[in-house]
Amino acid sequence: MTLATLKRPGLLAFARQAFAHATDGGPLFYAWMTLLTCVALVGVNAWANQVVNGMQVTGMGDHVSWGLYISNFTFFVGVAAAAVMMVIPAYLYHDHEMHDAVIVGELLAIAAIVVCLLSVTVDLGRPDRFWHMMPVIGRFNWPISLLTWDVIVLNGYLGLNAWICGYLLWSRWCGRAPSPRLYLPFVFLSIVWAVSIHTVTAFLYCGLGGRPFWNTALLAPRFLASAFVAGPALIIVVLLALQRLGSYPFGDKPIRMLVRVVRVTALINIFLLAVECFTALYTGGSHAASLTYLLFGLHGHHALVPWIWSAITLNIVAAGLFLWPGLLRRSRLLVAACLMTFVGIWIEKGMGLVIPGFIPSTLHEMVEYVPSLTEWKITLGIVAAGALVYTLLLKVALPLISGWTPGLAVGVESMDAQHRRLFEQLNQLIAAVRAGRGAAEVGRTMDFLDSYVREHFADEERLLAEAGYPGLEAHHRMHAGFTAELETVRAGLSADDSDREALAERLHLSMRDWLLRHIRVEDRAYGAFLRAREAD
Amino acid sequence: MSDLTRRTVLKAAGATLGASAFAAAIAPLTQWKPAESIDEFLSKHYKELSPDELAAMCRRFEDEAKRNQGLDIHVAAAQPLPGVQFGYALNLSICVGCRRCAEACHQENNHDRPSHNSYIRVFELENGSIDLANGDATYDHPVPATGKYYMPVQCHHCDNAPCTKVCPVEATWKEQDGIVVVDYNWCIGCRYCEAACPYHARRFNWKKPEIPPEQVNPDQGLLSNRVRPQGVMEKCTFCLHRTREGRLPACLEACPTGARVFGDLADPDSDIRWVLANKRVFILKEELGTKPRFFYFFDK
Repeated sequence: MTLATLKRPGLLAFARQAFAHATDGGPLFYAWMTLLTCVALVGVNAWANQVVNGMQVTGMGDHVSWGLYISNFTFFVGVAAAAVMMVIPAYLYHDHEMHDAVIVGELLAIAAIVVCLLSVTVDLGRPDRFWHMMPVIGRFNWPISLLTWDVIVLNGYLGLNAWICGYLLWSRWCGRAPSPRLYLPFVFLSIVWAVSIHTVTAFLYCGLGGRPFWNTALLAPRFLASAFVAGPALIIVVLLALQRLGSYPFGDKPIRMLVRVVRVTALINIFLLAVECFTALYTGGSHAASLTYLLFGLHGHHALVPWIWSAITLNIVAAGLFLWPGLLRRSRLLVAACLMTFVGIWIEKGMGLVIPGFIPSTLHEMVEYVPSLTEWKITLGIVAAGALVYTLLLKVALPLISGWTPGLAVGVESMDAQHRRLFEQLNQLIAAVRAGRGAAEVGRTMDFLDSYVREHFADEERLLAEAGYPGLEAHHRMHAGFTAELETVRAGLSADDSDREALAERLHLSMRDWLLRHIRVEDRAYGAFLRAREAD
Repeated sequence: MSDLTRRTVLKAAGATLGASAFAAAIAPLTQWKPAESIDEFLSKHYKELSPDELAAMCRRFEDEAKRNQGLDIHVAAAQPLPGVQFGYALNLSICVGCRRCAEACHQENNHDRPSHNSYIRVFELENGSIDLANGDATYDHPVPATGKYYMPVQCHHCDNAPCTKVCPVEATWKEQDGIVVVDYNWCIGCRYCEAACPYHARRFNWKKPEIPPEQVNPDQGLLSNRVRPQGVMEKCTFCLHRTREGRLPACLEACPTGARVFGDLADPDSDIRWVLANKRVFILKEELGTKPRFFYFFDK
């Protein structure tokens, strides 16, 4: 028996491990990261040129003075807010499976806020004067300017999500149960905060009396409705992709829950758009001018007409697909529906909302806008940077959530190695069941796990007997309980494999979570006993 | 070589490649000169500057013009006159749409020459309608045209100005004499004010303004017509470098018909007070509650 000195897992080791996880992967991972890096660098280069030559390199002008950057910003604020659709079921309704999967949404919120902050930064004519906005050294026009509110809520939301994710992962790394006091208040705050980021962003627009197209109280509700379509749609695609890549430690339940959300929000979003159209068009007059331009063209200008009708069509078709109960069984079609509505809403609340606010101008001049190549490069670069951040965050977080961490070390090298192996086996089994692999393959994995568990328990109990561990009797009973559970699961596996999801969930809940708790509490207790005995 | 070392070497190579690609991507920034001097980069907000610092800043701009272009300019930081409240009125009955006001603004305020920028846009409207939807600011024919009348629009220096409210850094504000100004050294170029203005009165410097040295107006104000830097907002300042010294705005002096009336709203004997008391006066988009200081009126 080799006893290792048990160090408290430090922040530095955590960072080192995170870095290793974030930079290690298969060929597909490296190809993906290289692609994103290249696109991001093209964006960086285009931005550097824009800074030097001025905003004349964009398609904007004094008539349409915000364009693609602010459109994309507005859209991604919604994506960030959408994490709340996972947070609410996970924390408010204690949906267990959501509790683990929610991190996929929270990390997306972080990446989306990064996209938002970058989008606003590249829209600045004087990025070198960024510090003028900082409180104390600059002049922060709060509370009068809504833009300062947006700065506060966006950075606050970034901070909240970074703290929640960081704390939960750190606790997992340390092998500790997170202290609810240290994260639950922030979780509940983040729910309200998510609504606030999109409401404040809507207020940026609807508070401007000179722009009738934006000056409607319906804007904030519309922003929220569309956010809760596009955000969950993106998360569904991400969850399905992770499932496909085999790095998905959660069940289908979160996906089903999100589909149910989109089913409702997609309809609300279309309804709100229709309400807006009726109010403006039936009333007519100058309030209808921008909407008329957007939908049908005005005075011979119709640059946005094909875009908005594509968006409306995509959103309606996607909403119909989401209503169809069979969608969940066809993951390709589900992905298609998600992407359709994601693109539809990107157009509708990005270009379809920001640009018509300027056309016709406040003095009713018709000047149209087409984004320049520079704007496309920068925008795509920013989205790639966001995807890069998101990928890295997921790479760090997912293994920590589902696997062995140094915080679970009991200090006996052979036992720690076996524990690590146990998690790997169990995760492999869960993945095999979820992916719907054949009964033979699942059976093989199950057999291997079964024999490995028995060997490990025997080894461990032998070790404890030799050491004269007083808690051996109780420990043995726990092991027996686990083996019995494994037996039941196995029996269920051969009897009926129709509901693989229920089986996976059972493996997840009664086996992996049990294992986690058992090692954290009982195994570490004998580890402490062994070390104390050694020291005497 | 073991697998682990090869992996490390490959990672290091990838990181080096990535870092050098990043350096190459941002390389254009080496040509970026955001400020003429470190003093300019670090300069405080206009309102935080002492009279001495204001004077020093004016001298600095003069020195820079001399050094860079060999120009002798005079930059002053004219302050609001106590008790004066500026206002402007425009007689739509006699404006002929010649656009000399817009041209005078272009010259006076050192606007970018190639884009022919001006703070004034003149709209040609149909008799019988004041709906700008029927207007045209790009007309190109002899004026006045039959059946048409003309409406120049510029900053209305609103008492309840939407533009100053939205600025995140207080780079634009209303001075004591009612003039809405921009601190060109403080503006971050977010263009929120441009979106907020209901009168299309604000302009952005999409590039560095180009003016041949011999055409630069040497009589300059720190908050008004000094040559603006790239990437900041600008707007009509009622020619404060002139009006705060008792002269009239350039657009008024250029008007051949006398359609423009400028003066002190606080002075009961001023021309503009007479117009407000005796003419049928209206303001543009009154329903927005912006309380403009720019009035339109008809004679007949």
